[in-house]
Amino acid sequence: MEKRSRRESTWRPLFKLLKDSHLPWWLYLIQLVLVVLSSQLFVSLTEITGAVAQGLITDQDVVRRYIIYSVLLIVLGFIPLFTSWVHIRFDRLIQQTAWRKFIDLPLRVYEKFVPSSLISRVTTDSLLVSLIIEQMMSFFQAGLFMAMMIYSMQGMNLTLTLFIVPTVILYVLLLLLASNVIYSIKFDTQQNMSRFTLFLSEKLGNMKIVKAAAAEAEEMTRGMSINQERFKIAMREVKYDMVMIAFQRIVDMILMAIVIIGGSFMIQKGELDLGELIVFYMFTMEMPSTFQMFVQTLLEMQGTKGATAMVAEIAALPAEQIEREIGLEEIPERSLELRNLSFSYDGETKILDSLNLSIPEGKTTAIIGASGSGKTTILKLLERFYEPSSGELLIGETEAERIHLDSWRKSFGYVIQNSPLLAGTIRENILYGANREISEEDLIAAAKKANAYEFIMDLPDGFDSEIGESGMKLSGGQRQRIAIARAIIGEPEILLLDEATANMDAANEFYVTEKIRELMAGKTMVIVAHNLNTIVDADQIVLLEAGKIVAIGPHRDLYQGSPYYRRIFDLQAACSLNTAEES
Amino acid sequence: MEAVDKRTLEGRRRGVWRRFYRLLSSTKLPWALIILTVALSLASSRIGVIIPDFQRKITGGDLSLPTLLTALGIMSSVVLLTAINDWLYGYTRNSITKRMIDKIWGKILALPLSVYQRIAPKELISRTTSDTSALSAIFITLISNVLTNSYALYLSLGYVFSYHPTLGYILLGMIPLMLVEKFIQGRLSFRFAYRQQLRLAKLTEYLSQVLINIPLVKVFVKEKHEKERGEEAITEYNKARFMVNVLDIVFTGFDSALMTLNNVLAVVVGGALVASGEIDTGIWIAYYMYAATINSSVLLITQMWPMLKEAQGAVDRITEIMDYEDESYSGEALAKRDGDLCFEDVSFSYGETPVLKNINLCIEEGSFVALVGASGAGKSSLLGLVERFFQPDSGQITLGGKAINDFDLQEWRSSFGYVTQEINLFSGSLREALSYGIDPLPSDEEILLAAKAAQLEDFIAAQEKGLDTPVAEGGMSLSGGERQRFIIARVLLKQPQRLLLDEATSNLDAEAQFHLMSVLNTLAEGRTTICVAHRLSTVRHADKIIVLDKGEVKATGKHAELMASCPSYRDLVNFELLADESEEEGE
Repeated sequence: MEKRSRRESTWRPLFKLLKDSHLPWWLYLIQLVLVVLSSQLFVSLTEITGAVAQGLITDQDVVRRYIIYSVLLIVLGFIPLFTSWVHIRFDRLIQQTAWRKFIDLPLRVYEKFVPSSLISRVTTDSLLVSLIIEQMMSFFQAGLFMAMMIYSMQGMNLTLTLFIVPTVILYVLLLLLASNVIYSIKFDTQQNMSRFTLFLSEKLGNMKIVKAAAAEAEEMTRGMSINQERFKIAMREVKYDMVMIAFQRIVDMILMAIVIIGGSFMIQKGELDLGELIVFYMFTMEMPSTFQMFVQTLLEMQGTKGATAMVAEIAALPAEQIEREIGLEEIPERSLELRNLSFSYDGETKILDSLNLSIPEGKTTAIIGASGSGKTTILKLLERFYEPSSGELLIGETEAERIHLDSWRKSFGYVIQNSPLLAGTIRENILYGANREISEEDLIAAAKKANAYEFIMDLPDGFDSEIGESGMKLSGGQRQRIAIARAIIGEPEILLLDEATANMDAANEFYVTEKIRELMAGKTMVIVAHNLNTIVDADQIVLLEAGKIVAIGPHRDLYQGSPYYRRIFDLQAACSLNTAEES
Repeated sequence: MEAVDKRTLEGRRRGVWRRFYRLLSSTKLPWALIILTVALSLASSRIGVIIPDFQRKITGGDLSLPTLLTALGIMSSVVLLTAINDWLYGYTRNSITKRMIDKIWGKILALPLSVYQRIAPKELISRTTSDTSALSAIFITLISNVLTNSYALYLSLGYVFSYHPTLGYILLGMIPLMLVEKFIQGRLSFRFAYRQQLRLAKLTEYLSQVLINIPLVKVFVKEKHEKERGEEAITEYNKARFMVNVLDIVFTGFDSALMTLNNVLAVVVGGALVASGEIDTGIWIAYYMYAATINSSVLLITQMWPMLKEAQGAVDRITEIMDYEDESYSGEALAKRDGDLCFEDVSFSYGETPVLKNINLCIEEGSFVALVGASGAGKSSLLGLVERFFQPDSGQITLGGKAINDFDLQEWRSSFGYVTQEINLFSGSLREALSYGIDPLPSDEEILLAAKAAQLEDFIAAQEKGLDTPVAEGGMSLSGGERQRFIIARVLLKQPQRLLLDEATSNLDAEAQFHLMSVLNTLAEGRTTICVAHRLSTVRHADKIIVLDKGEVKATGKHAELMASCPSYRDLVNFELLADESEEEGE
């Protein structure tokens, strides 16, 4: 019962995906027709070849037909252009649908994916659909061709056909059985390759450590042993190939022997003429590969069918529900409240436990605590990346879930530690945060507030400098300042900062924090920080431990009232402020 | 004839093959195997080429037992020879690859750090794995394939010409046609496919980047924007895919066109000859078979061309690595030597950029010296010079008066404990991670003792397999704090004579940070220690502070002295104190 409903649930979203992609199915019909035509053509051509070779060369009609068919065959040889175009068109449409789906994913679902595998989900997995159709085409084509050849052959000489065809079938089946062995070899090869690549990339990316530890000899030995293993596995493949190829050659020879010897015998008996022998020979050369294609495609289709679960998974992906009831503009208040809020990522461990927290409008609230205490989670909930497991989030007196997600997020600014930048110019990156036309003055103003203007002007192309691959060419602190400019250019009404200045040196941290405070004067701000010195001035400090609030209040009250807070604060003062350098 | 003008194409090509030759001769190649492989190939070619001719007898009506047995004999020996040859070929090829990989890996390990910064790890990996494969393939295939197929070609043509010259000329004429077609295909295909692959890679990168940053897209509510851009990119991506296919299909089409032409000629001309009685059908069949052989031989030979191009690239890349100079490992024994570590007029630049200028300073034996300065001031480079990762452009570094370059490199490095911000562990067991590079290998008790001191005891006890537990993925499953404790434990185990510390900053919370510092401080007692400092407490307790500014030594001294006398130092420290004061005022 369960199995059927699971399969059903695989197919329905898959069909919906196909429907959503608006695929041009009629193109495949054309392809089908072409397939039939070319098969027939090849068979006819071969038959004529035999006749001509035998000496029917004098028959003008035969020769003419032969030449025409040959030319037609050449033309048909370019059909794959059409086929390829069709397949790729299909691929594109499905990839685009998959792409849209991934963009719309709710974060909870998104985070279950391995980031590096996402791209292959969109580009590679989407190909499975056209692949299975391609396989069906090949299957049909091979089968048709095979049938046509056999039909022609038995028309010339049944006995010979009865010898050849079963031999071919048996041969191909044996071949395919044996090819199972190759899978385990290929698997081992791949395993070894990944091991070797991992080994190399670990060491090569960390040569300092290897050399500092004077471990070169050790690593040489390790490398050599993985290499030796690679050799052994490669030799297994060599042995396998040797056996398989020898087998193939033997069978080829057997088939050729049957045709030549058996055919000659038939000629002597008068049941076959030379021209027909030639035809037999040519068909026999084609048959093994055709039949192999036939069976192989059948098997591959089984595998692909299983892999369609991947595509089905994509098809079944949910979308974040952006539209709710009202827009944020309709709500005047900007105070937030977490009421009896619990949250868990996996449904078991509670990160936040029945939390009650008020974030007053126009004030700065700081959240501190050890790693894993839930600070970042609170910010993510405020940004509405997730829904609470129980309890609610309110803005003013309205439940947040009633508000359109896009208008909510547009009013929030959210900066994390090590914010990613996208490939493009600095200008493009900063303007990414804007929802309207931004003048050059506003752009410069934002950059200045983030203390980024100077270093940007020091770059040869200024704002038009290209930041490569997630902002590689700049230092961490510089990237972060651009991210802050990006966040503030949109003039957010509520600002969330998650250790946004942690990787900057003290001077920058100080300056930027000041500027942000100026900018957000009178606006709500929630800051998560490790460095207590940046938040001593907050209106309200929340001390979190294991998802619960253990102390709350302004710095002075906490310092006097909470021993835990006092201890943390003092410890930090002893090591004092990080002159964390930009590297 | 060393003076070859490398700028001419010929010269460059000659240069490549000379380097190829040098590479080969420096690698121990299994020459006996190679010669045997070639000999066997040629032999099986010779025997195999008889078959089509032999079948004339049979189609001519000779179905006697001796004839059939001979046919069987020939076919069997061909199969056997080819099988042995295939195995030999595989063995030889893999053997060559193995030797090359070992050689190149050994070379890579001996390279100075400057090379790693010039060539990305990904590059080095592909050179070690795919370039070596390509090289060994080209080498053995070039010799074996080309020789064998040319020989088969020659013999087949011989037979055909003996039947009838016209038939021979047809085939002879086809060969240049095929060669030209393949040549053009090779050139176009390579250039074109390469361009398309680049486009594909770029588009994939773009798509990938957005996918990895979907939270960012949501924060800025850019879903619609990215959907559109992505759709465009996907359209372009598939266009590139299609173009790669197009070239392939077009040329395959031409290939079959040529083959069909071949067939038409064979059939029409051959048929005419049969009709006129100049040849019999048995010969025609043989001719048809030979035409197929010649076709495939030419094809196999022309496959050399792209392989050659790829190999050229591979040779270039591999010889580039081989040509670099190794680090100079040999030197005097260091043993337990100690002394003051002094920089004498040391200047160092990183590529074009000067990093350190005329550094003159001394670190007294057993003292704790803190290095401070803004980023880019040269602090990490200084440590790198001490480790002899780099060489100064001028000046020298001495230990107890002796130039450090005189000492055996590995002994020198082993005498230092190097604790940095890069806290990467290697895959392996916990035991291996903790005892990495420590010679002789410490016992488990020693390891656990060090782990205890580094506060790792509980962590290890919690692991099912204890010290045998594998460290997954280079330690990524561990928290920053845990990894840092590993490094500490390793240093404790090593008990190095000297310490180089590059203070990590925000990886830990306050408590862990504090503990870390106390362990390191204990370790530093009595040991010559250089610490790139980011913490006020560190500099307060240092025996000497060295202030670096834009690659020069601005001042040295103790904390109090510098506070009084050095404005840049005061600036470095002051921002912290400013915040402290305002906190007091808020009272």
